Amino acid sequence: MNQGMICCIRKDIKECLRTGKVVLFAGMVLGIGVMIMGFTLIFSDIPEELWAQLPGFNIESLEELVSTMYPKMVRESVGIFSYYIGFFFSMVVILVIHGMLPKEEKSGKWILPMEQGYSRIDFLMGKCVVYGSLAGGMVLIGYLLYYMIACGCMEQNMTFGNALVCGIVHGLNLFFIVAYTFLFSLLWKNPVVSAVSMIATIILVPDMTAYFSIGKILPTHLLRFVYDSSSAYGELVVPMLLNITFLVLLWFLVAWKKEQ
Amino acid sequence: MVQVENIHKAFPGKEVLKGVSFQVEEGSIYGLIGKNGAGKTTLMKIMTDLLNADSGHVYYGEKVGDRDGYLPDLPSFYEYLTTDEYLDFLLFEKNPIRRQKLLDFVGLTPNLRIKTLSRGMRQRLGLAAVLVGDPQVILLDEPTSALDPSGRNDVKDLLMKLKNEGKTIILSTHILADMDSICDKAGFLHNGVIAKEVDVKQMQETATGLILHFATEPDLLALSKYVPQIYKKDDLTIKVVIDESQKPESQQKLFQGLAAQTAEITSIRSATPSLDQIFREVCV
Repeated sequence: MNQGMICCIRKDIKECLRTGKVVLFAGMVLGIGVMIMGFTLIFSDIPEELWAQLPGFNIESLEELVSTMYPKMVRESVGIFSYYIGFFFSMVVILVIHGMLPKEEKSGKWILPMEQGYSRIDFLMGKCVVYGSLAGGMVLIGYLLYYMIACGCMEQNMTFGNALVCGIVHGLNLFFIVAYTFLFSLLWKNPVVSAVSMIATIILVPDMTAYFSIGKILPTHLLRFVYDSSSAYGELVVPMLLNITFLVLLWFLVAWKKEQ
Repeated sequence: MVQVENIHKAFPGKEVLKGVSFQVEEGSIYGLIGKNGAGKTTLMKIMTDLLNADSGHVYYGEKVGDRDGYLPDLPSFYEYLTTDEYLDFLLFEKNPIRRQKLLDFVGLTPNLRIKTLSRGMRQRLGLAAVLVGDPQVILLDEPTSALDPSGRNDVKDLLMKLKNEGKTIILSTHILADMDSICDKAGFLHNGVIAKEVDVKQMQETATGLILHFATEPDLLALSKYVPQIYKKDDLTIKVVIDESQKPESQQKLFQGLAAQTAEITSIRSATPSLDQIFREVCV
């Protein structure tokens, strides 16, 4: 990493802190956690309440529905939390960041720094590292916090080690999503294409490919892995390697395109 | 010396530059004048490698295409940084001594939030940013266009300061009043070429014409037999241009023509040409 990249990272840390991005990302993770936890604790009592109020009322199907949507067991509940993070939090993050780099370039913010020796790749690196780490870090902290609180009020069926691995994998998922969004935003003429393709990928692909054996080697399996709170760590190797390979290839493609 | 040689640039459906060539002496201020859309910014961007020319070269001293300091018309900054942080970012390190020197030079107070800066202050910060790399040649695109009169004077003072330090400055503008007072030489960019070049200082020292005011409407047709270049300013006022290469003869003919006029002359004054007049003649 050269001095230009380090300076861009420092600058982007200030950007995150001063433009409210840290608060936004932390607030989103916290809000999703509170919502899932609240629904789980409130909704799980509703069938019993109904049964008490209306004796003879058939609560079995309602109980089943509530336990599927908001299970009162740690592993399943953490899985639901990570699904909401993968769905809503990723979507907000993508919408916030997809236009950042093209907008900076278009408005001429890069002209004066580039005169002094900065390159486009320095700006890209700064954004990927800072926003990727911020989103990933928030998810990891939020995940572990949710796990610990869930352990106190739900049926414990997940080890801390498993939660830590899943939290790290989900943090990496967000890091990759952020990095891909920034890279695609510089690759396509219109950054909206980058946002739409990323949102479509993270929402549709993990569910669609879950039914096929090839789905287990695609990078999107890393999302499926945390949604299922899986402990089959061997399944992480191939998707992770493929993910890193894609990212490196895309990085070089963008670098080459920007040099042209 | 900066030498621009036969620059061509076309965009889809429009050829903007059709062979622009000019030279700028070291330590001088060169004004690039032209209407909006004449290609001034395109030329500036080519000169700073931000845009590739279809053909042609720019030489800075001996080297081809060497990058020098360029300030765009509306410089864009990271609004959430302070002036100090921005300059440190451009310097690649925290360097309080160098940073303070730059801020002092452009007359900015340290540690101001960029978000709160006025347009004039932004232009000063932009100039400080350009000076970070201590360039010998500085290119400024419309540096005064968005400023009020006091801001324009500040920027003009700064440019004179830079010139006194031996920097070569090339600036583009359509505000000609600014050029008259600071430029050594000016080039008029029109129809994709430098249509005319003038030595501003020399031009100001030489009066090439007379402004004549009459009591009644003069007979311009009769006068034009003696003086070929007559410009009617209004019904009672005209400007006559004296041919510098044949001054005694031209003056004599003018007097003969005036003597033949029936209209009484109420005043005569010398017409010092301005860049504005040349602009009207060349570019409009």
